[in-house]
Amino acid sequence: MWNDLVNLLFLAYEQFNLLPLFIEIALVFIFIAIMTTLLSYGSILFRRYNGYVYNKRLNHLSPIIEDLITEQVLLNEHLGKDIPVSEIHFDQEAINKKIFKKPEVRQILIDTLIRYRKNFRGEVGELLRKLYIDMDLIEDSFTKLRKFKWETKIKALVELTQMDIPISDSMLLPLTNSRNPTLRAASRNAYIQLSKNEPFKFFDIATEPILPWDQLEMFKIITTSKDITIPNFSRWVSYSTNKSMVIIPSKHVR
Amino acid sequence: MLKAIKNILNKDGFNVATAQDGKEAFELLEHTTYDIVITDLMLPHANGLEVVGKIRHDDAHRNVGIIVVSSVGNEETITEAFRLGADDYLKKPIMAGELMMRIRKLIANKTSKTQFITKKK
Repeated sequence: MWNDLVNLLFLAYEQFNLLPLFIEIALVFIFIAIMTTLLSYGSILFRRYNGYVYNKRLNHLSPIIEDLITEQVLLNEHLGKDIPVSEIHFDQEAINKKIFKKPEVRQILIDTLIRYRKNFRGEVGELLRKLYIDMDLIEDSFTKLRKFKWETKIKALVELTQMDIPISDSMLLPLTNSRNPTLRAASRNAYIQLSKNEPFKFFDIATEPILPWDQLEMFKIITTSKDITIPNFSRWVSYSTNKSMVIIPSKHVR
Repeated sequence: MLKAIKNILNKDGFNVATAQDGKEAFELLEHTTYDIVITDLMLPHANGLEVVGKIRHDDAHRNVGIIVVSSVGNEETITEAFRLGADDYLKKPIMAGELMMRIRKLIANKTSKTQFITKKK
């Protein structure tokens, strides 16, 4: 059978060689177009299938995760009784269930906790953060931050920022000067939100520019974040050799 | 958010009915009168402002307390919500305790207002 196939291909190649040049070129283009279309459809089908599997898993896991959050956080009997959140303990049996050890479940759990944190602050918000820490989900985020892929790093940055988890300068500062503009912007925004004392410290080492869209995002974060320490911008206006580092502080001063 | 608020209110002894969107909310309001309506602004089919406006224009629900809970925090939207008849506005992220306090206060205000009107009559 293989021999027949090889013979057929060989014959086709011989026939192809006999054709005029412009027909050969046209056939090559047709072949490339068909292959590209097939690959595109294949890729779309693959993504759709992945989305379908993810949604199916999500539908199955969401009630379990929401029940956990409801029981351990929203309906926690210690809430509203002037007990410091750090002293509230979760039901260890409930948070250490086997299902919550699976990576895909843990990711859905992180996403759900973030969604809840966007809706609740105060004691409930703090307790959601404590659940994130007590379930060791913080380690999952830090593992993602150490991965090579920039999309994964950004995901980790968003998770840690939303959960208000400090990231060491040695880990975050190099990312604020990354050559990838998306990762650079995300890490700069994370730095502003997480650094309590010097939110603009990355200006000192910045050699890559701050793009206009990132400037807008930065302004939004500065104006909406609470208790942000506004530094003395004049030091960057006077000494920075990076143009955008001079423009940004000037706008802030205004 | 819907399920979370429902659980918090149930915990404090309230009976809660939930609607996924504005249309479903209107259907619920057709059959029952509620003490308080808590609505987001970003809703499918009919947004929160439409819900507030429609409740206030309906004689049967004129005295329902309305609390808007939304992540939209610009002045125009908040003013518009109050202009249409919202009694209170909470910007997300909310504090569960604060929401409870405001609900209780609103119910207490409505009750005292009703008693005052009854006495006056």
